[in-house]
Amino acid sequence: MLLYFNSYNKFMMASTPKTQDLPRPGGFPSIQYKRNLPRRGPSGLTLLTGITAISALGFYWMTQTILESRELKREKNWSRIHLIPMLQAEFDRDTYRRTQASLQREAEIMKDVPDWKVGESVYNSKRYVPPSVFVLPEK
Amino acid sequence: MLVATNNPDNAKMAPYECGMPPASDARHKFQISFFLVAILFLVFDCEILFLYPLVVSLYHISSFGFWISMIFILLLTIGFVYELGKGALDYAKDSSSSKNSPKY
Amino acid sequence: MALWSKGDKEPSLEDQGVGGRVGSIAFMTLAERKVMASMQRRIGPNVVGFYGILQPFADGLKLLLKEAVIPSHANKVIFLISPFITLSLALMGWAVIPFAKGTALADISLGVLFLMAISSLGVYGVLLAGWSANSKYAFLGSLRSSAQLVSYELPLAMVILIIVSITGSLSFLQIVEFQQGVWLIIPLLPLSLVWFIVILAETNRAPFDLPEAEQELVAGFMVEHSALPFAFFYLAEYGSILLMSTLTTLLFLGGYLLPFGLPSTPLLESLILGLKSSAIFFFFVWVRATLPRVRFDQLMVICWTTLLPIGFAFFIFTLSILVAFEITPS
Repeated sequence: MLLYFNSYNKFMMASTPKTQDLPRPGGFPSIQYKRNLPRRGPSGLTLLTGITAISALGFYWMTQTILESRELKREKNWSRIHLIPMLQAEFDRDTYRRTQASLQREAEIMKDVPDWKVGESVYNSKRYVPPSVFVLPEK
Repeated sequence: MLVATNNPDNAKMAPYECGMPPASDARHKFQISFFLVAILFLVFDCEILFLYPLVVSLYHISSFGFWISMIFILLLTIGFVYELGKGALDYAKDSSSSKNSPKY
Repeated sequence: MALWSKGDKEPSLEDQGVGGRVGSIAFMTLAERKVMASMQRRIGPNVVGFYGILQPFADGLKLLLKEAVIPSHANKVIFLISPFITLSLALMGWAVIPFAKGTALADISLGVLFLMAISSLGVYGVLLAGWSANSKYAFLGSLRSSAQLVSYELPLAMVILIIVSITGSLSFLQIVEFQQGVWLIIPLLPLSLVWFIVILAETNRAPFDLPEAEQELVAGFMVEHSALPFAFFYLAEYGSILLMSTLTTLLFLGGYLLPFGLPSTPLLESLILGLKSSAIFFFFVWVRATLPRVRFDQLMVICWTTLLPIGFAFFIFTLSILVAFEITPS
């Protein structure tokens, strides 16, 4: 291969003056190898600003929501605190009525038993023990 | 499944390998990165699960609890940066550096 | 209710829930095929029933009547039990999802934790299926799939953690009720993008469907499964997609609430929830029809070096705002 080219060059040199393929006058334009993607949509800065603005607004609304929910919770707690004395009083009244009724029933049932003390505590201490069993009225 | 036909033969029951008989057992060794992912997952999942009780009780522990959690996150971030620096998650590098390990 | 009154036994709320789920999953497969067809200028299924509306039942019947091939080298018990595990786990998550105000099967106060635990267990079905099949494709598919599921669990938990820190509750009903003030997608707009990426990866959907990359792994961890076990995997996959869509709706899009605080009834509320979830499911299909698949190392790098740090940064940011302005939810 090499030999052939050498002899060819010798032949060319003998007949014509040496010429070389050169770029056309002014040279070739540079090759476009970069992708030319169109820049669509809003720019990065716009997107960043927009998302930040939306988020900031959202965080403000979120703050209001959290504060409102805390206020609602506080209101609920305080309403319970204020309701407790009334509910406790109702409960005490009901308990007293039921205890008296139960004592009456006991006296009625145990009237034949000698030296039976109605309402005697079954515990060894004198402390008041709230009743754990209520007798419901029969339907 | 009960009413379906069932007439198996040897070729049908063979493991699927594009029509060829399987060359070896399927349960061969695999890349170490899968183990690494599992171990790192354990650490970080524990971390995130520890943060759940914190955020639920943030009202009661307020800024003290906040700073404690920041220290906690900082410690794990140091570990995370170390792990990234070691290239523990660099799948591409691992498979090219060791020629013998299978590439997935 | 009146429909059931003639039978001996009225189906319980749980039975109705599971039946409804499976039915909606079946129609989701049809919806996906139809939407994909429209996006690719095809017609899609249009033979069975009007506009192909009975196609899922035809498919289901076909899968039911096919021969279930169990490879001779497989561990048969694990091979057959793994689809059941996967499907039951995918359906179990629905226990804590509220469909309208006060309409969850189990309104437990730790609903978020329950759902995360159930979704973490989903890895087991995949791992067992791939291991027991004793095929190289299934093995590699299950390896990839478990690594992917496990990795994307972290950003998922991180996003939910931020939402919990804002609402101050682990109960779905309370998280939704909080959004009467503002839907959480507005303050957490950057985070919702992270969430959308994560749910795509967590449900093994395109462009993150590496476990079932057709060109390399045929069908991933479920190569060897056929007939009914395969149908179970299929149902489980779409069930988890539906669950994730509904979860997105609950966490970001105000759940069953109408926009602008409009008043509503329970029936309307569940309809709204379904509409929003369908919109998210449409997003799933849209992404599948649009984007090419990523490489596996890219997948891992996206998760560990991008999504997880973003999640941590946003968590610290949110927590700082809550503490600095003293607006921690009580």
